[in-house]
Amino acid sequence: MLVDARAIPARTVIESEVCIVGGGAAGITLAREFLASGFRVALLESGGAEIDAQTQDLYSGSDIGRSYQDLTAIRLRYFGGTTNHWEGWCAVPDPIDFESREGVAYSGWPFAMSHLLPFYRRAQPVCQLGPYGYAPSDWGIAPAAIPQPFNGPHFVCQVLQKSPPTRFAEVYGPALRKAPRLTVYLNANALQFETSKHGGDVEQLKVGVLGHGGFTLKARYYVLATGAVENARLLLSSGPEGGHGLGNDNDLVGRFFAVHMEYIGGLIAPTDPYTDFQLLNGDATDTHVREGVRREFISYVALSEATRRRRRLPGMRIRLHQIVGETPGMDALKRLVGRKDQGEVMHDIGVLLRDLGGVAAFAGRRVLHGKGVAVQAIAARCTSEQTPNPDSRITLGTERDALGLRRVAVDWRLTARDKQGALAANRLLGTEIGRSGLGRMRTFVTGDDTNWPADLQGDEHTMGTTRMHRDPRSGVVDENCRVHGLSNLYVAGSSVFPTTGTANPTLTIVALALRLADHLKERLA
Amino acid sequence: MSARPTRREIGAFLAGAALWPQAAMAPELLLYAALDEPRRACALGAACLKALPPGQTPSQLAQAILQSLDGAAPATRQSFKRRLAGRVTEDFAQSATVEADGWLLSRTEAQLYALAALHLKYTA
Repeated sequence: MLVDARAIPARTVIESEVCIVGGGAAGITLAREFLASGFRVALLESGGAEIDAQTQDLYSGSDIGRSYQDLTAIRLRYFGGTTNHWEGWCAVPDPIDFESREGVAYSGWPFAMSHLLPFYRRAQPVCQLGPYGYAPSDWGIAPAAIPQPFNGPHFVCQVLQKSPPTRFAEVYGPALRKAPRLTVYLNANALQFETSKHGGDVEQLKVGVLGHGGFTLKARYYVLATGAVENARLLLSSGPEGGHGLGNDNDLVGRFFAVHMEYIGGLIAPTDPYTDFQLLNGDATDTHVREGVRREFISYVALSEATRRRRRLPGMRIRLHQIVGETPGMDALKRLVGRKDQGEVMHDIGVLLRDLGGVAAFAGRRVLHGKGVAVQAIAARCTSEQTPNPDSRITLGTERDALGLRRVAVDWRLTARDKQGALAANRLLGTEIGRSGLGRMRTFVTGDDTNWPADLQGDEHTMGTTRMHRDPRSGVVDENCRVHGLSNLYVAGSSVFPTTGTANPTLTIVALALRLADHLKERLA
Repeated sequence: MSARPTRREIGAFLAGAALWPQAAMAPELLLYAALDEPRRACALGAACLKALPPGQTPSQLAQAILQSLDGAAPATRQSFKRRLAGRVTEDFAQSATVEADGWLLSRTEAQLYALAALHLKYTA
C-alpha cells in the first residue's frame, strides 16, 4: 500500500512491527524481504514519487573541513532514493578490505568477506545483474589479453558489473504497493527517535511532514536507512534535548566519515603510441555473454591484494584513459558515410577537404600499425581508499531546515597516511610502467607533505559514519548492525562500513540489507 | 676535467654524434651522442639534476653511467642503446628510480638526462 503522509491527520499514532526509514536501495531491499513474511512493515520515504526542490533542500548542509560536494546534488530524496540517478556500477571489495590491517588504524570488519558471499550472490538479482563473478576470466578476458604490468604482481585487472541500472522504486515499487501488510509512506520525514524511560530501546519515532502536522510511528524494530550523512544526522538529532544524540555514548556517531578520493594520479607517455589500453579504460563499457545473456561490464586496474598486504598500502584503482590526437577529417568522413551520428553534409565535406592530409596520415597509420589513431598520452585516473579517520566527521551545524532539524556540517578530513599511501601507490605504478617498458609516468602525487593534486575530490560514496564493531567503544553498531545500547534500532547502508576499500558500495549495501532482513525475521519469529 | 668543454671537445662530440664509435671521445660526450632527442633530454635533465645528489660533474655522471653498464664504453651506438635499455629495466625492477619534476625515471636514465642538461648549459 502507498500512502501520502500529507493526508494523515496530525498527531496520529501508527503502529507497525518493523519501521524502515528511507526508501533507497537499502530500505527497499529490506522491505521486499518482508513481503512474504506476514509481518507489518512501514517504510517511510521523505520525498514523494518525483523529485521536489523543497524536500531536496532538507539535505542541504555546509562544509567545515576540506571542500566536499553539494549534498543536495549527490543524493536524491524521493522514492527510490539515490538509485534514481545511480549509474549502476557494481563491484565487490577485496577480502583484505574486511581485514584488520597492519598499519591501518581502526581497519577491519567484524567478519570476513567470505561471510558476506552468500548475500552478495543474493544481491546480484536484486540489482538485476547476472551471475556472481568478478574475475576477469568470468568476462572472457584471458590473462594474455591484459597488458604488462597489469597482470601482476603489483597491479591486476578487475571488473565492475553493470546494472541496467536498477531504479529501485520503478522496479520494486509496484510489488510494494500491492503488498497488503506493507505501507510506503511518502512525504514522511523521520525527525527524532524517542527512547523508553530506561533508555534501552526506541519507543517511537516522530515523523514530520512539510507544511503539515506530522505523526508518530511505533514499531517493534526500527531500521535507519537514509544514507551515511543522514543516518548520522538523525542519530545526533535524537535523544534528550541538549544531549549528545542516540547511540553516541562513546562519541562515535558521525565520525569516520569517508568517501573515495578521485584524482588524476599522473600522465603516462607510452613507448608505443599504438598500444591499445581500451581494455583498462574503466569508462568504456564492454559486453560479454554470460549464461546466454549479453551483459555489460568494465575492466580497470587495481593495486593487488598481495602488494597492499606486503607494503601496507590502502586500496587504489586506476582507469587508464587514452588521450588521442584529433582527426577532424576522419570524423567528418565517418559521419558522411554514416558510421557516426550524422552532421551537416556541406560542413563535413568542407572539414574533410581541409584535412585531407590528416585523412591520408590516418590511413597510413592504419596500414602500418593497424590503428589509425596514435595515443599521445594515457591519463591514470585514480580512486584511492580513505583510511578510517575519527576526525573526519558529520556534525550538526547551527542552521535549521524547514522541519526544524539542525543541518549537517561536513568536516571531511584526509590524513598524512592517506597521502603517503597514494604517493607510494602512484610511485609504484610509475616504476612498474617503466619496468615493463610500457612508457614513463609523470605522477601528480608528489612531495612528502599533505598536499594533493588540485583536481582531488571526494566522490558521492559517503560511508563510515555509524561504523560497525563488536565493541561499543569502537563502533556505533554491532556485527548485526544494531545500534549499541539499544535493543531495537538498526542501521542499514554504507554508514556501517568500518573500512571502505575502493569498490562501489551499492552491491555491499544491498547484501548487508539482505543479511539484516534475515536477522530481523529471526528476531520477529 | 674542466667545467666547460673546449671547442675541441664540442667538435669531437659533433663528430661523435655523426660517426659512432669515436674511441677518442670523452665518455660524457660519447653518452650524449647516443641520445635520440638530446634537446628533450636536456629539458628533463634540469629536473634530474635537482633530484640527483648535488655537485656532480659531467665526468662523474658519465663514469657512474658506464659503471652501471659494466664499466666499458660501448662499442657501437646500437650496443650502447641495448645495454642501456637492459640497465633501465633492471633499475626499475630494483626500484632504483629518481623522481624528476614528477617523472618516474630509472636512476641510469636520470643520470644520462642530467648529463645532457650539463652539456646544454655548457654549449648554449
